[in-house]
Amino acid sequence: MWTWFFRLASPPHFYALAGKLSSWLLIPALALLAIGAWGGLVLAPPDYQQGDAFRIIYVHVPSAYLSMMIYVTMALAGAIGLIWRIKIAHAVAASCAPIGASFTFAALVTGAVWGKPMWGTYWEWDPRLTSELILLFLYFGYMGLRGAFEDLNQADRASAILAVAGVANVPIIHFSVVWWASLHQGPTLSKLEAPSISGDMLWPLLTMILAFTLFFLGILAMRVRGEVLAREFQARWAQDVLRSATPEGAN
Amino acid sequence: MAVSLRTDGAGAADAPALGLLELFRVILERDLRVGLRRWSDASNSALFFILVVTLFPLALSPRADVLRTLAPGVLWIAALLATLLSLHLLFRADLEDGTLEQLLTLPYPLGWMLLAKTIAHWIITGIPVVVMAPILAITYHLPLNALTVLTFSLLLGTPTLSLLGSIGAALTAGLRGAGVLLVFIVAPLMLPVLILGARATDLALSGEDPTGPLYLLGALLVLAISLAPIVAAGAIRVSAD
Amino acid sequence: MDQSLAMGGYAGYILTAYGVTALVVVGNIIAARRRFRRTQLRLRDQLGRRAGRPVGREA
Repeated sequence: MWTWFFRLASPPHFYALAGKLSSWLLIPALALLAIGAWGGLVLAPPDYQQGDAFRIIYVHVPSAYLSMMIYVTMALAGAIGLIWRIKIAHAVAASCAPIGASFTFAALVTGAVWGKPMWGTYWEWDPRLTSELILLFLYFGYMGLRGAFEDLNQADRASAILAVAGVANVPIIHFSVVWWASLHQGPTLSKLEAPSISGDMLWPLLTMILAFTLFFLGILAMRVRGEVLAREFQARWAQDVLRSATPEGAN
Repeated sequence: MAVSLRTDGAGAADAPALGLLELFRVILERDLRVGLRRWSDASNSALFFILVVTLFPLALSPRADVLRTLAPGVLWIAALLATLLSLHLLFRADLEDGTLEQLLTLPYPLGWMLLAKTIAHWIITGIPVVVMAPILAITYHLPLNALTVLTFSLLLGTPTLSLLGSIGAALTAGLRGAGVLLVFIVAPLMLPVLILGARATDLALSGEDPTGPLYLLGALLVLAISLAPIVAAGAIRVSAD
Repeated sequence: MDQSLAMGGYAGYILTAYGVTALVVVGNIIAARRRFRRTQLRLRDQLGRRAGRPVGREA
């Protein structure tokens, strides 16, 4: 069983696997996205307090969840790469960053758009959105640091250290932001929660979360595939693959 | 017996001859000497602190009631910016003259040595801020109790800022044009200190009890002293490659 | 169906939110594919230049 795991860490096996994996993940992901969106937009009944506006939850919550989960994945992959020096781990970490940043952006925009009908303004400095904004800065810092190094090895290790330091700080940052917000707004419920969520409101949310997760993994597989190919350029298997690829890159 | 930090490698040849405390003192003294030699660098952060604090009344309002409300946040932000601006100095001199590489070869724990360097840096750039803060707070009409809490929170917080900053400085040491990047990657880490320090002062200002945030600041300082040098040491090893 | 399309007057917000999310989803797919394609072409060029001739790009 462990041989399967170690084969995965071997670049040529990973490359071959990742190509198939990404289609296997993306197609169900897109199907689930459609089903979840349909469930959220049409099938779920309007909320008692928020009316139809609460439907934004079906894109905001999965985006926010992804933005945080991807950061943790990025830090974990970086740590694995640092400690055990598994090269693919660094490739995974590098590939996570742009995906995570894009979903942080989506979480911020959907959160702000949700805010307007709910509390009258697009931005209220509430703890959730403020934490998302800080997370966006963390992503940009990570990508900026990566890009600043010429040597790939240095870039890998430095950004891994930064990601781990960031992930350790995120709970502290989040706690202090929540505390800061509570001092100003009083103990009101965060407006971005669906107060009481019934069954037929819940399943589209769970579907969307699953869909977003599969989507992330599918895109990740695509990106890591390219990373691995570029990093292993000197290796025989990589050059064979490049030589035999059709111009459309169907390999 | 002094460790020689010359670039002829003489220090590396000795077996560990210094106790850890002595090593700390030696590096602290050396960094203080080197840092204070470049007087313009040392005074930069204090002058910048004064500048930022001066800008706010000019841009907003010189009214006592407005300034008093703004004071905790403004003074803390100014302190944060002053720290951010001075961080690149932490390793620059040593990187330039090769001392940093030398440090890596010495048979002493790198994290301990970096802690000494960071404390020296804080003494040069952080203590002036802590000293100036109460004076400037008076110009913001801050009452005595809030002023005391402000100064104390800065005393607890600015070393933490320097320690967190040392991680960023270590990661970007040797990168060209690293100034902005350094600020960017370090600022999110510093947010909790900013929030706690400003809020503690604010609580004192409105007559409430500020000890909660102050304790948390102390806890963060302890955490930073124990963990930041280790992370910075790892980062320096990457940068020195 | 009519009345549900109006979404209680929130249609604009909901559309924007779902629209932006859809853009991010599609954008990720396009960006990932483009990046892979570009990497592949760049590496094949490098390979070809090493061997002293282009590597079947016109095929």
